[in-house]
Parts: sequence; C-alpha cells; structure tokens
Amino acid sequence: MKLSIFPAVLLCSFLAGSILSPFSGLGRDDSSSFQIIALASFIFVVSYDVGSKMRASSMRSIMKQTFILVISCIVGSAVAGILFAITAGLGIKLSLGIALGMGWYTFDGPALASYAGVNAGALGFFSNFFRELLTLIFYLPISSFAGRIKPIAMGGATTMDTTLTVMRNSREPGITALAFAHGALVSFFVPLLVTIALI
Amino acid sequence: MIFADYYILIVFVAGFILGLKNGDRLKIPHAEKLGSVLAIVLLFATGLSLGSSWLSEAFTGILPLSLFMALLSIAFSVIMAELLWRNFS
Repeated sequence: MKLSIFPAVLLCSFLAGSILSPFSGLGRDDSSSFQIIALASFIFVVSYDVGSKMRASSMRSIMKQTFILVISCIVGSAVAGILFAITAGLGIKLSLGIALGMGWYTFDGPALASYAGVNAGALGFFSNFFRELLTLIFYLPISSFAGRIKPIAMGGATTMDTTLTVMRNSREPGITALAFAHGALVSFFVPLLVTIALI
Repeated sequence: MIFADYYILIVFVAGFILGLKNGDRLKIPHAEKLGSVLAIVLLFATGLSLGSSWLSEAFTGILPLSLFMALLSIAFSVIMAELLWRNFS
C-alpha cells in the first residue's frame, strides 16, 4: 500500500505554526490577515484547477454513480454531525460545520477558526484530518467486503488527491475516474455547505 | 460584513468558473505542486493564528472528539452509500 507523507507534512506545518506563534512577534490581527491571504490563494488555485479538470474529463458515463456517492457523502456526514452534536453536547451549527468539511481540513480548520474561534478551528482541522487518515487506512479493508465503489464516499473531498492513491490501487480506471469526480464535486460543495451550516 | 463572511465562497466560485472557461488554454503552471505549497503555507498561517494555547488542551479534549467525529462521518457515509446504492443504482 502506497501511503503519501503529505498529510504528515501538513500536520507538521500546522504544529510548527502553533509552536512558533508566541515567538513570531506577530499580533493577532497580523496573523489573521496572513491566514486569510493564504486561504484565499489556496482556494483560488484549487478551484481553478478543479474547474479546468472538470472540463477536461468526460464524466457522463459515471455521472449517476458519482451523484449517488456525493449524496451519500453529504447526507452521511450531515447525519454524523447531528449525532455528534447530540452525543458531544456541541452546537448543531458547529457540529455540522465540522462534519460537512468532509475531509477538507485545510479549508475547514481555517474557516471554522475565523467563524467560531480557536477551539472550533482545531476541532474542525483534526476531525477532517483524521477522516483522511482513516480513509487511507480503512479504504482497502472495507472495500474487500463492501465492494470498491461504495467506500469511496468515506473519503469525502480527499478522493480527488491524497486518498486517490489507495483507490487507484484497485487498478480499475473507472473507479479512479469515479473517485476523482466524487472528490471534485464534494470539494465544490464543501465551501457552500460549511458556510450555510455556520450562518 | 456580509461580503467578508462570504469571501471564501466567492473566491472558490470565481476560481472554478475561470478554470471552467479558461482551463484548456490557460493552466496554472504546476497547479498541483503550487496547491501543495499553498496548503503548507496555509496550515502554518493557521497554526500561527490559532496560537499554542490549544496544544495544552489537545490531548484531553480535542483529539478524542475529533477521532469520534471522523469515525462517525466515515461510518455514516458508507452506510448511506450502501442504502442509496441498493435503491438507486
């Protein structure tokens, strides 16, 4: 199983920022401005790239399967968010904001931090980070009994990049295209759904 | 401040539409690598912005809750996929 070290690099970068923050000499407003500029740049590059790839790829043959998986991912995550709100005693808006990040922790962490504060940002970041890690670990074992297509929904937005590495191992091009299309579509819906959940 | 609250969504939709219209003739050079570098910068900036205070609480509260949320999300996404697949595929 080929595993990417990129999630670990991202986690180290996040931890380095946190640890170095008292020594940076930046005020709270300065670091927030830095974060907003970095977030806007990242979002623009990713959305442009998704837009250009969506146009290039022919997805008509897998449209119905992709639609079922995307709906499964969104509804399943929303149900998980509602259950999390009940069991953990957090607000329903915040829980949905975390769950509907659907694995996109580089977006959900900063977005929740700017909307709902430090702890919400950290919770959003780690919940979605763990979703990616758990998908990397559990996709192949789950696909051995549930089939290779349905578990794609567990990866959320990450199936178009990081977790595509394990899904591509199935050596079926259709599944690779399906996973990418699912990740691209979920990535499109994440900013919309998280914003709606937090309003 | 409504515009500021929606800036992420606005940037995303603008980038997506630009990519959709111009993606064939105007590609961002090394977009995948650039995205990776920006993700690293973004998380560093997020760490700076969050500060270090959350670290002392992480192992008591945040990490177990995060793991619980991740497991719930994964489980219900697969269950929903199973249900919808049976009925609509």
